Amino acid sequence: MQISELYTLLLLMLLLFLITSLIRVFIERKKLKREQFQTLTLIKCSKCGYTEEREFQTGDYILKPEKECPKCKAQTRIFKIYDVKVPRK
Amino acid sequence: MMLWIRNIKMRLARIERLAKEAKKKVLDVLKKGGIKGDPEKFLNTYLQFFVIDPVRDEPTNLMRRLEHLLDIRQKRMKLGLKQVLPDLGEFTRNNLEIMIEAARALDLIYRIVRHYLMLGQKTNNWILIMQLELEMPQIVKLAETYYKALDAFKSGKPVGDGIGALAAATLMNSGGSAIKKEIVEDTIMGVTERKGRKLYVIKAKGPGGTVGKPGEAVKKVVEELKGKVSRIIMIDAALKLEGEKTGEVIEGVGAAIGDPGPEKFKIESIAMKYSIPLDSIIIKESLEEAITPMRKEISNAAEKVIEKIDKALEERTKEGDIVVIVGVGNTVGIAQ
Ligand SMILES: [Zn+2]
Repeated sequence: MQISELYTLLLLMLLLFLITSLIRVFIERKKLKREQFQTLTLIKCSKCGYTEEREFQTGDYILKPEKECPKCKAQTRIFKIYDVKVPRK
Repeated sequence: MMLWIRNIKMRLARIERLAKEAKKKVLDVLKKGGIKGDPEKFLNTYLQFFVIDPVRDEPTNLMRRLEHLLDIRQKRMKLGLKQVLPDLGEFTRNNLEIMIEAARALDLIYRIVRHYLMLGQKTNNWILIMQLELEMPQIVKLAETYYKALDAFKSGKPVGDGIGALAAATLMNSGGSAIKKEIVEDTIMGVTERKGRKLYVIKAKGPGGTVGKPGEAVKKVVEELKGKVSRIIMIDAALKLEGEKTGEVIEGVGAAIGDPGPEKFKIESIAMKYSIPLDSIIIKESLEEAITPMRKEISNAAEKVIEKIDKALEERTKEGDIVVIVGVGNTVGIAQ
């Protein structure tokens, strides 16, 4: 009677341990996979050095002429387009 | 063994899904571009298109034969695309060409893995199955990388491999107004001045996805200048080893270009003919970083490359010298 109870207790503990470790593995895997990137476009005025960063829009390419510079009214161009890691919440 | 097979099948299903979605994305672009005829039929022709390797045991003119075959292949694909999508812009067509290439790579991975799995099952070869099971995570990662590359080319974002082209574009536009012209097909040359030296800067013609013909362009420029070039400097992205820092810029000698051979051969030959020193600057990145949208660390390397070029100009050339600079790599999303 007592021995069989001990056995069930042991079995239960083992099961609990298995389940928790399984959950932990799954969570860690999800953490690894959730590496997200965001593409940004950097606009620069070659005259005064004014820069502005915004989200990438389809049709953007490096050296594409953009709107005029808010500081010196010269024409700005897309200077760079790159991916940055999005910080996880 | 049953467990292995089940595991492989699960991952194979993921690769199949990726391959199918890749095809769907290409088909979407084909349909949006207003394709004439059946888009699926068109794609299938190019999905398993092959090039037979030239004979290598007899090396006479091997590079020219290889170049000839690669030329035919590219011309045929370009012509095929032009025929069914005449209204689409040149740059979009170039991007589409690379998208098809990525979809082709995915399809090939899927078919090869399926082949080994079925072969292993059929012959009850557990070593084959075990090898496959052990290599599966890497294969899945490769497939995912190709899938991500497809997205980059679809939206026309610059990729990591384009860092050479980006450095060249920045250099071209640094010294006032440069004269730019298409020197050979899909390849642009800009003449500019820097530190009292005359620079002939070469890169692929952007912002469509193409690598151009840098070797042919260098050959033409050097021949036109009758060999009066004091240095050739090449810039390219190179595969890093796992654990190395992305975006690191290092220097060396030789032709830094990762083509199947012909372009590299041309540059080496012309440099040898006129005994012009051949320098190279490489930017380290992984395969995944090279064919997916350019990371910030890599784009920051452009300034470091230019610093190194300035130093090279000051230390290894004199004022009034002519220097040829080649930015190698896919120029998707980068104009000039
Ligand atoms: Zn300004």
